[in-house]
Amino acid sequence: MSRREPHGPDRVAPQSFQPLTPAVFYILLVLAEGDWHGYAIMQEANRRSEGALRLGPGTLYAAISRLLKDGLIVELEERPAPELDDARRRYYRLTGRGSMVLSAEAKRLAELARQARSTRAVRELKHA
Amino acid sequence: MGTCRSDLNGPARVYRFLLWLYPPGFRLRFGAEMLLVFQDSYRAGEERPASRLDLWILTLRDLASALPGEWWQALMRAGKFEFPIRQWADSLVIPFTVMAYLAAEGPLGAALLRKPPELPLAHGCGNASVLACMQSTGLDSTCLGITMVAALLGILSAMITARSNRAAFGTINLHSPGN
Repeated sequence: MSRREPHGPDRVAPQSFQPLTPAVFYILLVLAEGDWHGYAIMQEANRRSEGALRLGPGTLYAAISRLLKDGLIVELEERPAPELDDARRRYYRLTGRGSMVLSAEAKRLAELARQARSTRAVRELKHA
Repeated sequence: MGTCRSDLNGPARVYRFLLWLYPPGFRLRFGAEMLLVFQDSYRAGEERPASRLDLWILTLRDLASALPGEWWQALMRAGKFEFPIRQWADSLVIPFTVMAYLAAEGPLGAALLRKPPELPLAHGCGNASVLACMQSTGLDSTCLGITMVAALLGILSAMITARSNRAAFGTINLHSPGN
């Protein structure tokens, strides 16, 4: 599928987007697996977060709007055939920059988790 | 929004109405998709009335959390807040520079530069409190005049730039670049 070019600045460090909101993090995470439309992103984010993240359409598309602007995702120009799916659906894809931002955020979270695990309070909580 | 009215059921109509609360650019760009997502969510919870209630609660919470941010973005894009504030700040540079210069020339500057302060008194001014104030701050009538003129110029400049910005950016852009 062809895709639209990102509108945002090209040379922005992935760290400048940190910390990502849970909604943005899960949207990027879901799109890292493939191209999805809004409702599928919402469902998949809910499933992956084990119900902790419930996105509404407003929050979802506000986040998508900013991700498009920053060039972290792109909208695919082609729409599904009307007989296969609703032609109004738009599909989104993670860009290279979006992938870098997701990776940087995952590293940051892993480091935070590592530091938390190294504290006595968290270790005691784990054994309790 | 590219949505055919005939395929809208009751809840979708309500949601379509709620979409009008969003800024025009955002609504035109994402409104149809948002409505579709809402319809999908509603259909998914059609079996259980509790799910429907849950969906409406989620929808209202979603509106409350997303609306302020989107309106703020829309207003910032329209330049209503950003440009006048910046221009006003730029305009105040002139009087502040003059004031800083005068302060440096007065007792403060004297203390910093270790030179004895000169406290010339204004002549022909009958107001004792103004005189006392001028004496205590080290301002003479010429300095005071320059400060007042600079302040007035700054305010005038700010008013002109704010007016020209209103003319240039005063209307909200109703269409996003993508539409």
